[in-house]
Amino acid sequence: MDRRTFVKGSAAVVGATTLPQRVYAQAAAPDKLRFGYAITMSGPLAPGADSTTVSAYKLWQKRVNDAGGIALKKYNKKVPIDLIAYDDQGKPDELLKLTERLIQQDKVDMVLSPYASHMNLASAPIINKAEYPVIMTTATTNKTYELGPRWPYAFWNIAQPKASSGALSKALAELKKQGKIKGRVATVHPTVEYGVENNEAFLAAAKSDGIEVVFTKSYPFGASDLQPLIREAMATNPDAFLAFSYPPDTFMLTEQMQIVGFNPLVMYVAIGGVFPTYKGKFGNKVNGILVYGPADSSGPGMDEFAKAHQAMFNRPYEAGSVNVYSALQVTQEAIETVGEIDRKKIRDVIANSTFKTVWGDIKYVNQLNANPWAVGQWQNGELVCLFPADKAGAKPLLFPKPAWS
Amino acid sequence: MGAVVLALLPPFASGYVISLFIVLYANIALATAWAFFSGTTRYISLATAAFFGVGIYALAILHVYVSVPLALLGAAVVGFLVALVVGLSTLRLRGVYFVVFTFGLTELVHQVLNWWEIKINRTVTRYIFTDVSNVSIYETLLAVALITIVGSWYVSHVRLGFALRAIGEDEMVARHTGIDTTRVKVLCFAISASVMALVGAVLALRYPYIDASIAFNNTWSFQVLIAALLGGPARPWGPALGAVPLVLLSEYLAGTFPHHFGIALGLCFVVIVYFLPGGIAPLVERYYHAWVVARAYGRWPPAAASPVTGRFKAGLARLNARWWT
Amino acid sequence: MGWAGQLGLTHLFRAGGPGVILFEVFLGGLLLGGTYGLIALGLNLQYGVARILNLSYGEFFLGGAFAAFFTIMLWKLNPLLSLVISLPISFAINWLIYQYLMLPLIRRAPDQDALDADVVLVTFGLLFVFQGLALVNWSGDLRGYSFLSSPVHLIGATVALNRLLAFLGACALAFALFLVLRYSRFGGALRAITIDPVAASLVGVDVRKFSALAFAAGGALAAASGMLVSTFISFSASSGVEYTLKALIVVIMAGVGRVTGTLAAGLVLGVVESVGGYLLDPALTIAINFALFMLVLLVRPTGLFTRA
Repeated sequence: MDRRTFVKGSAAVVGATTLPQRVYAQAAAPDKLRFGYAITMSGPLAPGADSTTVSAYKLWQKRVNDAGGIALKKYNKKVPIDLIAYDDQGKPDELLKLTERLIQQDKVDMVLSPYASHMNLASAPIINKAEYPVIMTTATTNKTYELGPRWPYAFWNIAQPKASSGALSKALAELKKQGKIKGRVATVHPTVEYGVENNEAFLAAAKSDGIEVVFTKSYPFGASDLQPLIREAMATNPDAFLAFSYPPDTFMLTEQMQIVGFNPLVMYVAIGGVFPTYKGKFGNKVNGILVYGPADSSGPGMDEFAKAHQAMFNRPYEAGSVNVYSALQVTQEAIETVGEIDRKKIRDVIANSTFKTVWGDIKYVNQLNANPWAVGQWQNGELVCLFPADKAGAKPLLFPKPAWS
Repeated sequence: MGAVVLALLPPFASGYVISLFIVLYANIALATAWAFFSGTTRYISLATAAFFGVGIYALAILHVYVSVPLALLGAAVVGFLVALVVGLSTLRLRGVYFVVFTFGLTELVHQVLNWWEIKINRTVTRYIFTDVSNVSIYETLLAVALITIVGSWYVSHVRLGFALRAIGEDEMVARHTGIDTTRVKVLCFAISASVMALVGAVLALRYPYIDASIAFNNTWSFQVLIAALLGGPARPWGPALGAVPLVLLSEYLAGTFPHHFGIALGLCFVVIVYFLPGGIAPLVERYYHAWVVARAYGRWPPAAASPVTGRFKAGLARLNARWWT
Repeated sequence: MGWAGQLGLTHLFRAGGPGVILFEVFLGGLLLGGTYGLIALGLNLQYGVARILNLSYGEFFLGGAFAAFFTIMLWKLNPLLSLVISLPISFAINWLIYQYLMLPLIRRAPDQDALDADVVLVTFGLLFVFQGLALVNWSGDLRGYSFLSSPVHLIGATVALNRLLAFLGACALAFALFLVLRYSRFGGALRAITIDPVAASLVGVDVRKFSALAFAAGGALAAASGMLVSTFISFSASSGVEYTLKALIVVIMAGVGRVTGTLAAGLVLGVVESVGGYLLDPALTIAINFALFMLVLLVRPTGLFTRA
């Protein structure tokens, strides 16, 4: 019976160390605010998690603490922030377990979102059940209308497929109207959720905008050679080439298009196009390439943000981290408006107010960010924001994309 | 006894503990199912992730049409059938070739399923919205883990178990003694796979959203292999003995050294292999036997050299021995 | 395109025509296959000769890639120079791993299967340790650099110079290895150990020493291949496992212990993957890769080129 004893014994040990529920003293002001997150620190999805999300979390903590902390007007004092971080290794089961741990074991005041759509969606039910407001900064899906009401405490910060693909489609339709292009588009995407949904959204938008999609194919994420695919696309003679890609293929497509001399008048790459390493690798050749999820470097507070980022990490910021940072600013402002950690009230403030952040003005309509920056472009070695075109700070499209020289 | 305690735990434990135990039971069930086939026949399979993923997908597809319990059953059946096909086609593979083949299987299924989903359904994701509570999942997995262990124990005491072990010792001899090795191998491979599929299906109830890369994650294959080898694949309760410290240790390290978790875990593996050859189970067994014997002779605790130090000294002595002899 | 005209195939081989594209795809597949073979060469030495299934192999591949990355991005030097550092370091570390971590396991294992089990556990642990160290030091960011990414025109097809270089590197290394194994005493000893270590020790081969050297050489090859591949594929600190598995596939498909077979198997894999993906559906390239690998094993259960 040693097997059963062993299992029973270990259960007792774990139970003994975790059962005593710590009582959270509410009477006096907390001397620290604890923000927790579980994020992918290892595994194939780790790249991106660090430069997009974690660096923003750390930078925000530093800047807030340097200013004294978050102002809780209920206690009339500023309280500094503690960050608790766990590695979910890219596994949803780990994420679920660690999120529970943050909420129930560590009893954090707020939970920060994990990285990548499927992880955000995996932990959303738990976070919502515990009634913690969370702003998801790296989640996109075509189902926000359905998932929004399901998870009232979850907010979506970035441009969803309909917004970004729709913007592209409209831009192409405009160019076609001006006679600058014939309106023939080739699209490619990796066989992952992001790629498929953005492609589908684009196909739908193109149909209603009168754009002809002459070629659309997918490739496996992690493919080693995309040249045959590029050749095939090239053979259909498109004006525009859109790749709803992930970082490794974003890099590979850009390089191989140069090798074969594929010069579409309009070129778009998705995730990774805003990475400083993308510009680092291709130099001035990135000019004219459209990318997903830019940030406006001339936006309010961006100068200080850029300086602080460079000082802390010794490398330039990635546009995605601006989006994450903006979500943290929203969170901070909401907490300060409420004056204490009352998560229901904080959630309501986030849902109903407009916030000024480094990423522009943010207002959530039905928990969805009303008009986040969706599409940008490299112009003269700088990243500029193009769409939504009516948002303050939007620049005009540079057309055509200069040929690879 | 212990099982009853565990079954009654949920109301007293936090959601985090329940989550932790869910992962624990899943690992125990998977590791035991793995060892049921791979531990006995010595055909090391890395297809755990493939069947696990098949279970997830089966649930995702079936739960739309039938009730959850039926969907779970369906997942187990699908896992069984897929394994039958795979098993029948891989009969001639041995050793490391079998291992890597099974690894390739996971990837192949992953890629083909992705392609199929995009071509036919124009989406790679499936949503699973059920109202199954964490507690139900906890109890279900506990039951699955226990049944798997008990089943493995039972089989090891009947002819089928004997046949499995005979195949593991020397397959050619086993065949010559009249055992239908093909039938035994394929059948047990399929049984083990259906348990894996079932575990996948139960866990899937917690994910609102799946796609092929989540479902077919090779880490499960490796994790389960490690747990079983660590615990000692030769006993029915061995893998559980490996899974428990693996999961708890991972949890402890992840919490204490989130940034250095990988390094700490890796070092632990290396240390464990050197000081616990053959896994934990033989060690536990030895202690248990020593305890029983000592109790019978009234000599507990033992004053003489313990089994561990004795073995360690013997190992040191062997470090001067020649190659392979 | 005189010969194409004579065969009545001019319409296929006009510029941009399907024939040219197919040829380019084939050529690209060949280069890709050379890459696969290159990645697998080192592992073949480690498993074929030293009988160690080293799951941390890909981490040394990554080491070579990172060394190249820092050499060009930080010090602005030709990444090939990074080999001066990465080769000896990888050789040394692997040698030490073999001597102090693997030998005790080998001595106490009763047979190859038990050894494999122990080795898998230990090298899996090493994988975690090295990957953890890489993540802590270099973060999980994606790295890539541009080196020789210019087009080369071969008979109407265009290929990237860096991929061509990796292919030539693969051929050169495989050829060099072949020469060493065939014509040198060291190589003879290695081949003897591959076939039967006990018999080899009986004829006076110091199996321990040569296995250690082979294992270390395998590690050095890993770093070299990492450097070459990093010129055209982006990578991160977590990419190691992916390359270990790629190498393993090729080694097994070729049949353990066959060096030239490894390159040949890689080539076959690359060509079938590229051409198959082009003809069927690009989304299936990786599926075709694995399907071919598995098909080969079903038809020849001990690999393409084993004598058995």
